[in-house]
Amino acid sequence: MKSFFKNIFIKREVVLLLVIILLLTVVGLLNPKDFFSQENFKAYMTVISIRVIVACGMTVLMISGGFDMSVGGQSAMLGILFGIMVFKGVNITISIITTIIFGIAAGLIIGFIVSKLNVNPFMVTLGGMFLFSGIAIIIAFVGGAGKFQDQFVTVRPLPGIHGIAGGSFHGVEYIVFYMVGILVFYYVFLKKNKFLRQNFYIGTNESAARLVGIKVDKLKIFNYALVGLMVAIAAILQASRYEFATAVANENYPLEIIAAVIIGGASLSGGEGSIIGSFLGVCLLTLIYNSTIILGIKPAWYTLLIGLILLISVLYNEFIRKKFVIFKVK
Amino acid sequence: MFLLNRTFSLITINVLFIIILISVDASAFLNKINIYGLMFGLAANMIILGAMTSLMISGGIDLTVGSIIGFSALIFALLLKSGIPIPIAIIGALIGGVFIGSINGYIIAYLGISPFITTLSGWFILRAVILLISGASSMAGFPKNLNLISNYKVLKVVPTFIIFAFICVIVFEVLMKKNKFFRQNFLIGGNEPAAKLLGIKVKKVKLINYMVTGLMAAIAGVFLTARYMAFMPEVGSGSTFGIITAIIIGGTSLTGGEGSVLRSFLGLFFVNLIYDSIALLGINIQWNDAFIGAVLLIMAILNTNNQRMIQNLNKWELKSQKKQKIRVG
Repeated sequence: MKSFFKNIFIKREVVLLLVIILLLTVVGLLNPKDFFSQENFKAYMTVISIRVIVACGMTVLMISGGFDMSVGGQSAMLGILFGIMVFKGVNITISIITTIIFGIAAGLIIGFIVSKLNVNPFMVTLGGMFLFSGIAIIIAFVGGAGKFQDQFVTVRPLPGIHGIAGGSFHGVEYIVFYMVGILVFYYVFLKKNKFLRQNFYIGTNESAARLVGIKVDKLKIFNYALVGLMVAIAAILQASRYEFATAVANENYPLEIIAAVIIGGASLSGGEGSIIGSFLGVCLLTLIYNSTIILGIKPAWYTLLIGLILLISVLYNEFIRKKFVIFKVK
Repeated sequence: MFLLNRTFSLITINVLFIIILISVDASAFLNKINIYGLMFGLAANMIILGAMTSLMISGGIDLTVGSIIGFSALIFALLLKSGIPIPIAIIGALIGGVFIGSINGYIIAYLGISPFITTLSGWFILRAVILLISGASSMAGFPKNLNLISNYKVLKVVPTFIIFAFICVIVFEVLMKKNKFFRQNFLIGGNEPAAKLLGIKVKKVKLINYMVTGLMAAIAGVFLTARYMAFMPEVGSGSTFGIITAIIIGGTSLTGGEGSVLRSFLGLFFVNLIYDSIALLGINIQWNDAFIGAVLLIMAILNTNNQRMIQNLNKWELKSQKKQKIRVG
């Protein structure tokens, strides 16, 4: 029996799930009418879907020991690119393909600099963060997007694209199906696929992986391109769901995604991480945000809780590593 | 080889930029208002720059500095509001900064958590605490002589804030060059296990690094509050990435082991010159971020002088030579 509890305690996913259920019950008891309404559920699922899609790419990247601060800038750039193309009346299929190509290209550039030129990913993606959010604003101005208070550069309304993500099947919006599809894809491929599983080797010991014959550089570039692709998909879905695109990058966006992935069990040094964990991490953070709105608490509490949960989960990680892992690397 | 000296090349870039600005519009650039604006824009970050550089040389990073500025400014404002005399309020604010720094340092050095994650969560927490305590509103109405702390003009020309900022940079540059304690950071950043074997108290040095960074951030917070005679909840929020950007442009590597305070200062000056020139030359402000990002990327690549990059470059050279031979053949 003791080992049963020990196993549950070690399983991070179980702990996360318990926390989420606890939070659901508490908030549900405090304000059941608003919390369990269909509108709230829809809004909640939309935000989760967009973030989970990006978080999936980020998980694979962080397993390989990399990490990407530029997703916020990329998201703004790709969102506004897609928005403006649709706004200008370009064929929707062409705009989707262009956006995806741009997303992959952004990832390829960053991946190339990180792996082939061997520059620290933090530096590169910090530069990318500024660069992409700058390009987003330039695209918006060149494309003639609306200007508000000299900074908010937005396009709305976008005709005819709501159906891509916002159409519903038996009351569930398409965007949720996209998320589930991508989630299953990543889950299966990280478990079974030889190519993606190499990331675990790279993350644990890069030089050893190189010696074993894994093409580390190529895989790293692939990972960054994958993140770019995921950001592109998320940006398209977001723009079509809300019928709205903005060029103003949310500087907390990448940090919140990284926080969610770390809460889900990844570590910055690589080699660890799980898709289900990341999914639950995103769910938890979004649920807290949702609760602050439902319960009418100041949004600052959300920021405070992200910080606390992140710190606790990292300390918990370290605790488990010291307590239960037999071998220690000194 | 002289051209390859990083300090020299950074100075050259800065001087070139200044020459361009003066030649385009001397009256606008050499204007008293413009130069004061430029220096005041630099001052707060300059105070923290030295401490942050030494921290990053030891392989750490502190994302909370911007929030510590806000936090200490908040403590300072609250203490002043409750009628406590200025010197004691300053001490209170500094203690607040050192306290946050010591928490960061303790978690990172003694519990062994990655500095990025620790200070990232600290960033979230502190920002929220500032908003919750201040009620997201600004405060004003401090005693009148508070202004003298940062705006008193020595010799009727240079404000104390700017003088203090320069003193901080010079002191840290000298400390990193001469002081035994601060030079340990190079060893820790270069090879931590080896530093441990040499008998350096790695944990203690790391803890003190974070405390010093917290202290300097708190000083910047006090100066900023005194300069504007007001507390704003968002004060210092842009500082963190501003300082890290400057340090990276200055050539300090994030993995630790190398760097210099002087070069970080030149990097910071360069970034602010770019902002200034974009404003002066009448370029649209929307180019700001893209330009800074591009500069940061290029400098990050140029500053990473490593074996593997050179190997890859050599490989490509060989490949292109082979192709040429085939074409000739």
